[in-house]
Amino acid sequence: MSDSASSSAPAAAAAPAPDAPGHGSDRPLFALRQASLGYGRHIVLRDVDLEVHAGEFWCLLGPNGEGKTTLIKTLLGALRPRRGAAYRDPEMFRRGRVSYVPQRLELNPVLPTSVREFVLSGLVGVKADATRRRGRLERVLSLVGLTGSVSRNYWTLSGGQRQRAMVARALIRDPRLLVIDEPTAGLDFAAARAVLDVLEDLHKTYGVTIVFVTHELATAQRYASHVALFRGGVVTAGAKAQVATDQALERTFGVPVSVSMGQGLGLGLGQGPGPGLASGTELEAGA
Amino acid sequence: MISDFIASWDLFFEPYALTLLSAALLSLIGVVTAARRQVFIAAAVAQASTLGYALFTLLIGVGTLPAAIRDVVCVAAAVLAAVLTMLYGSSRREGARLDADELTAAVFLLGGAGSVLALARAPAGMEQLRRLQASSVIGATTLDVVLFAVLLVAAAVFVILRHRALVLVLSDPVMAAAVGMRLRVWNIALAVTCGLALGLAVISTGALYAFATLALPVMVAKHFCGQVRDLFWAAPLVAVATVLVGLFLAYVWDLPPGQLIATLLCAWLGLAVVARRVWDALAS
Ligand SMILES: Nc1ncnc2c1ncn2[C@@H]1O[C@H](COP(=O)(O)OP(=O)(O)OP(=O)(O)O)[C@@H](O)[C@H]1O
Ligand SMILES: [Mg+2]
Repeated sequence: MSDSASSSAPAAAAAPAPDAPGHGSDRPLFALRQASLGYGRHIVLRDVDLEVHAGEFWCLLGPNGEGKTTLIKTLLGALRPRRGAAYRDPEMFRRGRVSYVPQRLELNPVLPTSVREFVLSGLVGVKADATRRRGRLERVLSLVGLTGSVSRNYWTLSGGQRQRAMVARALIRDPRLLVIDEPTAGLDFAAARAVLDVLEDLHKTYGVTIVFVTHELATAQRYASHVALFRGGVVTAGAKAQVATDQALERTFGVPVSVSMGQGLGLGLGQGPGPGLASGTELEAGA
Repeated sequence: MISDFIASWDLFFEPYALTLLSAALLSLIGVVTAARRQVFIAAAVAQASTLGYALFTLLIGVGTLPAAIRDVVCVAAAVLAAVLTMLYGSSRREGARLDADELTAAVFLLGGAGSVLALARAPAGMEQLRRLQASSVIGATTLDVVLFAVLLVAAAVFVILRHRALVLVLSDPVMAAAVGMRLRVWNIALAVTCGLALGLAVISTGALYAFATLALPVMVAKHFCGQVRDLFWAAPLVAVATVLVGLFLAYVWDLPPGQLIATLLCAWLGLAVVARRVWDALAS
């Protein structure tokens, strides 16, 4: 699609794009104004106001079926708001610097697909010759710990390995905006930790904007700069300190939650780097 | 014997060429319908095209329409049915009461029953229906051959240039939208292509042959391919090779080629399943 889409992350880091953090552009990458989202006549979310700016790290939190995936589909342009307006930064989306890790895949599992083919499908619209494609493939596969599985049938992977392959597919196009629907669901402790570390590194080092659905408060607590809470068709969104209060979390989940306790909930991630996945800095080394 | 068969190409060039080209085209399209779990769509489209024709005849009130009009109506009805069924299938909703296969079954039944009802009392109605349903390649014209050749080349070029985008839109439409692909355009384009190819094939080669060459080659090829991308050449290869063998055997034994080719494809499928099992057993 564009040459810039094929430039590597470190190159982008060396010469920060205007959307890199600290460049304080006021224009959001994505915004909803008084938007109602849903499917056909079924409205899932009402009057949503939300702005995602470059360099932010968003966590979407809420019980099952509250519309987190629906909001993500709208963000990515796969769904149009039923009412109200959705704005998407034309530059970012036209240049294809957006990537997505879905909650699950729609491909018919009776069709064979290899890890290689699956991950490379993330390069659609990116100009890259065969050597470059191979380089990128190796880099992202080592990042998610799937190097040895490149020729394997995707459908013979375990749930967690598939999740890693989906993360690899998203990373292979060096996104500036990465949208992830429950990236750590089904991952073992170390793998979940490693995926989160990669995200944190992308965010901190390269200024990649991240929008992230999770059910783990500890994860939100640790990584997010912004939070959106989903409850009863209403989205409360903003900076983490303002939005993720004890009362708001309790209202959202219907059980008493303490922000400080959030650390102890969910995965209860430990501190040490997880084995199995290399640290995110390899993205730089491999480029 | 083989030289006799080769000599017969002069006489039967159009039917032979049509049989080959439509098999190659439909087996290519079969990869897409398999990926979308819409394998039965060919059967439904075949019936819908006869229903379209029957309703048109009933509405206009003419018993005998010129063949050209009949074909146009059938193709239009087939395309419409295929587009609706495929669009429904690709916008499948969680919690929806019908999936694509069920809808396809309903279209199939409505098409089959409705067309008979519509023409039951029309003069020579049943006669016409029978002719439509039992169509064979014998009447193939140069126009048919050119049409299928053009469609095949267009489809093949498209797959070669855009296979990665195709795999993405089939496996993950939301990611496809995220990277700037226009889903609506893709869905409609895929549905129209399938409908057009199927509608034309049903009319010029018959429903059974069209369905067989759509559904079976990809099922065979899948046993030996590790990637969706490889299916796009392996399925047409299986189809073309089988058609050549089938045409030859049909010539030698004087049997209807369409049915013979369908049977051969089923036989390959059986062999492929066994071969794969053996291979896996040896490999492990
Ligand atoms: N394709 C669809 N068509 C119609 N309704 C849908 C569709 N997808 C989801 N819904 C409905 O929209 C509502 C919100 O679903 P959504 O998937 O956005 O929830 P979620 O917050 O992502 O849940 P989870 O945490 O379980 O992933 C649900 O009531 C669901 O039934
Ligand atoms: Mg969800």
